[in-house]
Amino acid sequence: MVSYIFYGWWDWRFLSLIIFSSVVDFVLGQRIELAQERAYNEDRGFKAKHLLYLSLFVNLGLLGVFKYYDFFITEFIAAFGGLGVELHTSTLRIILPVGISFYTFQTLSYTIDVYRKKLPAVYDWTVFFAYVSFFPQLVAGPIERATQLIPQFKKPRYFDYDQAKDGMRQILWGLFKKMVIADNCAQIVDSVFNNFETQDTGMLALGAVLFAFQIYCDFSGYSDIAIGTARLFGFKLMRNFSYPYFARDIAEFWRRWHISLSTWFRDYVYIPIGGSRVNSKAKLIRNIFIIFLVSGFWHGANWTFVAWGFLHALYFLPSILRGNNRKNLDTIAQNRALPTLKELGQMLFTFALVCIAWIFFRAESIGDAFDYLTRMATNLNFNPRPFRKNIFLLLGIVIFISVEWLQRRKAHGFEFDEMKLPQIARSTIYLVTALAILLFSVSGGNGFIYFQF
Amino acid sequence: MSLFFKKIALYISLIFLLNLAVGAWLKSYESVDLKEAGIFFSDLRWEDYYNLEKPIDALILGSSHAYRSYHPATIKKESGFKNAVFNFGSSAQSPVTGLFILEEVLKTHKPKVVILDLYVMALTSDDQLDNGRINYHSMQSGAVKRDFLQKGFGFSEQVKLLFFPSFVYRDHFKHKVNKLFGRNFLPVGKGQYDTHGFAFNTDTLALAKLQYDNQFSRFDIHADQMTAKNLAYTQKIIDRCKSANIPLVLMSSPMPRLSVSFIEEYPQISTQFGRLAKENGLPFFDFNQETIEEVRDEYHYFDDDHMNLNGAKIFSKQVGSLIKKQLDK
Repeated sequence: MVSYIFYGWWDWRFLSLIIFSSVVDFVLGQRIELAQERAYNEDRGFKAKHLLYLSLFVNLGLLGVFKYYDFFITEFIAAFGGLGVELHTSTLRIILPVGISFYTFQTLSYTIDVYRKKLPAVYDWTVFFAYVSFFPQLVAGPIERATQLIPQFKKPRYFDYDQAKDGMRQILWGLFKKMVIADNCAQIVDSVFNNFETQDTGMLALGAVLFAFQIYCDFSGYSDIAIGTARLFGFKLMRNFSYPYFARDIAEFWRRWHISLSTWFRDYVYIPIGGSRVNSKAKLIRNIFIIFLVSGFWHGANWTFVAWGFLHALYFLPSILRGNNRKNLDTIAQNRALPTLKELGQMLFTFALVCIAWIFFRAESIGDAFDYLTRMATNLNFNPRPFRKNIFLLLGIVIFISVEWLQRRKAHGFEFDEMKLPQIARSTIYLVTALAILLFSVSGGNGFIYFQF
Repeated sequence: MSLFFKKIALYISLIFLLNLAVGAWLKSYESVDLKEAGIFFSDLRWEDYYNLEKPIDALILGSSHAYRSYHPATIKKESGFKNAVFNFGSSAQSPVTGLFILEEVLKTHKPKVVILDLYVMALTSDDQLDNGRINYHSMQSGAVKRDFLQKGFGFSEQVKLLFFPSFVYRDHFKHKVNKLFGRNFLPVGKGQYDTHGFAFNTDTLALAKLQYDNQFSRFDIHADQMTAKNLAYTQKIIDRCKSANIPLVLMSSPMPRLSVSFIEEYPQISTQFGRLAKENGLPFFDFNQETIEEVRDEYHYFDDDHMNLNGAKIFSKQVGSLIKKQLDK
């Protein structure tokens, strides 16, 4: 009930949408299971598959109407306009229901897993509705799997002091990332991207790098707050980020970035279409492009996101074609304090590639993104003034990177080993962090970027 | 679970105390550092006001455009007032703040005229924390100050103002750190405080800055950005002057012609102010429309919207004679 109030607070009208989606999958999950039992007894296997298709149709249909309808209509009209045919079709002009991309994928994972017999259908509607609408992760993930979260609703839960304590630390770290790093980066990033035509190389590079930190701290900050909050209630949500900017290649980056979405696409799209176990390189290349383009398009109805996905597919291809996409499965500098020069070079190169792709993600159009890159490569000036002016933010980012580096083997930045770090040091860290949030947060703040997806 | 909540309560208390201590240190940037440098204008203005020996004949309210454009001595001379002309403009002063300043003045004075300077940018935000705070802290305790806090500031602003000084004064952190490291910690271009609320700068703006680094070229200002709350409080100022039987004159002080040209909707904004004046039977003088030609160039400003001393004196001469004409009617 609290989760529904939480969702309705934003716009009560869209409550009907999440309730509809929940009812459909609650009923279809049971029918799929029933159909499979009958199929086993009566040798009629087709009905369960049809019910699964119905679930896919309803959920993807909702997503299509609310998220992509206007985009396709506009593109359709533009395409015919290019051929000299003028079409008069109206768009819906509806606002995107917050969290629709997240809870739709979550309910889909349920029906697919029931169909695959990985999970029994749920007959307790309170459990199922709580699973779809669980408030910490409802609007921006992590996208939970039915197999992981539903059993937790069925179990009795007890207050776990250590979990709650570490959950509070995770929330504090998440707030620091969002309010101190992401929101301050946003101010400079907005100014650079909105006026990129007048900026020099130094400023454009700064804008791209700061956007990389903005989107990471914004989204992983939200994930930390969501996971930490769930832990206070005794729930364990899946990890969503694992220090992605310390990745040594693009494959490793994707094992560490938005883990709940990338594994969702892996399990429900990539593997069903053959994954990497296909008999030709052409099919492998096709599969890679499908997964990255769909992933890009999931972010929003704009070609910039598709271009971002396309670019990552291009980055990813060489390693998977050479078969070395799984060479960096361990943590960087596992038993050392610092990376080797080679590792540092790999990290910086990967980060640079990621930043270039972020330009497409952040730009208003693909044309703007190319103009941004062209200007960055041609207007070779460097004015140190903006760097001096934002010295506190840059210092904050250095501190942030240092904390992440020191904690790279841990689940989150503030997971402390109490045997190694004395109480006084931990308390000082909490107080300084809270004070930093008070001192450096931006007035009015910014919404979370991923709320728009 | 009780241990968990005890620890949470302990940390909240510690953070709160730390916030008070750091907040006091940051606040001292205004109350000590800027004040010693003679550039904490709002505090100096209130001190000046409470030390006034003569009654106020003319009161000026408005933003920094007001306190840098209306030169009290010139207005007094031109209008023939016997007593004080006091400029109570303050940085980004909203009509909300303006109303409570007016109430504080009306406790002890009955001006012959009030000039309300209207500047669109001071009407586009309901945020009271900065523009209200600098006046609230310097105002003497009493019913008006209590009212100002309760009615002028939103609930979250009241909480921040009373309990979270480290958040309220966080912009001073950089300056205080600069001071700790022996670097320059004072803002440039503030000019100096004169008397009767007026502050001035004698610099002259470079034309290139006006043309190529003009803040208004970066803004997108529309008439509909003026908030309902600010317009309602403008009406309250008008009503308060009427109920006290004090003539009110609405004005928009001049800005460089080039700066105004960047505000595409300026004519609509001016029309809206004119309509407000007409509905209330008040005179309205927009010096960016019906111009005093000689002060619209760069020579009479020290930045892209604030007059320098020379410009203020020329403009105030005209204001003084206009006020005289209005009162003689």
